[in-house]
Amino acid sequence: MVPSWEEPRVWIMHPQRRTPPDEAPRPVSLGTGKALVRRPAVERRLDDDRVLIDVIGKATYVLNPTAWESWELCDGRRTPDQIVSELARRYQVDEATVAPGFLRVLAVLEAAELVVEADP
Amino acid sequence: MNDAALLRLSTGAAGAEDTSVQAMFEILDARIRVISSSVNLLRQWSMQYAAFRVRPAAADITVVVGVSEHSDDPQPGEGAVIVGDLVRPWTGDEPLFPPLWLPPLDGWLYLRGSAVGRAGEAVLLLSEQRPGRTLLSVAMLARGAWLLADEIIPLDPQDLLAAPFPKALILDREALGLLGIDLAHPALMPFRTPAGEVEWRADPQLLLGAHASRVAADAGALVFLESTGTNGRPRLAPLTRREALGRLCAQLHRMPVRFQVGMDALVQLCRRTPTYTLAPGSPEQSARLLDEELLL
Repeated sequence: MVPSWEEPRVWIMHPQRRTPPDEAPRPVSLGTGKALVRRPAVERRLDDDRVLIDVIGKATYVLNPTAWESWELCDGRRTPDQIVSELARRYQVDEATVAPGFLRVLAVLEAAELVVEADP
Repeated sequence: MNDAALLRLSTGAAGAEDTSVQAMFEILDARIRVISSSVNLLRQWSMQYAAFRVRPAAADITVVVGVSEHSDDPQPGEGAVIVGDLVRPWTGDEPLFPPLWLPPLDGWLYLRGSAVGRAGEAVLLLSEQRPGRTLLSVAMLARGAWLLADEIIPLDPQDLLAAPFPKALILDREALGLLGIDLAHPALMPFRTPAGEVEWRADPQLLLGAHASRVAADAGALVFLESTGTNGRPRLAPLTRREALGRLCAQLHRMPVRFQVGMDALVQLCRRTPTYTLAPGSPEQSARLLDEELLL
């Protein structure tokens, strides 16, 4: 059964401060052709969402299921384009449907240095 | 080394030989000795934290203040803290007293709010805005609940129990009226606010007796108080766990030193505790709603 596509969202839950994800800049890795890799963070479940506790950056993020899947696809082998293609394949939707939400999530995770470009 | 020498060493205070005063407090099992060159400052802290005063003993933390006699507002450079053999100047980034930023006190999570309850369960009323929150707590006390903490709720990150924190209550006429307490009650200490209003400070145990709990309690529910009411009946609305975690983070009094332990505890608290927002009506109506829905 194909899961239904939900716009990927990430919520920043910083003690004493909440930054709307919309304020995150454009992903820096876009168009570089480099694969993305996630930095280690503590992962917890919260209902269908997942929580990333960034001990180094002293911040906490809640990712909905599609954002979580996007995060997991940052495995050191896939570029942003390839991740969009993979998400579109898994959810059987157009890449144009997947891309905007994925890029917003990627921008937040990159700004938090939770996702970086993989070494060649 | 005597206390006056300690004052000079720690804060550079001059002429402290003849004027230093002291008090001993026990806060969340940490024994804290305060040595102050200002009588006013020590008196102020002693009133706010009267329920924490204990007999002199070996201290886990020593707070040394070299503020001038006529000031009750220490500035960075006028205070220091001593833990073990380590003397640290106070930088002013966090309140000098109580030193919640020092071990062992920094091992707790501190939430901004009040904790009221019945039996072994407390409802945590979370909000930064003191007057409305205190009034609601008082209205719940008037219905027979007990008070665990008002202003700061310490939470043990291991077992998620809320600990008693009997800092002095600050009550206005309306709150005292709700409690049916005579203005001449011996526990009440009147003072004038910066806005010129008269309010009263009171040690919770002297004022409330058995309704001031000294036993840690489970968090039975988290209630985030909305700033605006409904102009009528209060409304309790459930929150998703995601929303609850965001709001809980925003109500942290200070960043947990052991960040992962602290955040894990908050995630765990959101998982196992029902969470709500309360759009308040009158304090009596809101208290009745919370009491009937969450405590009785």
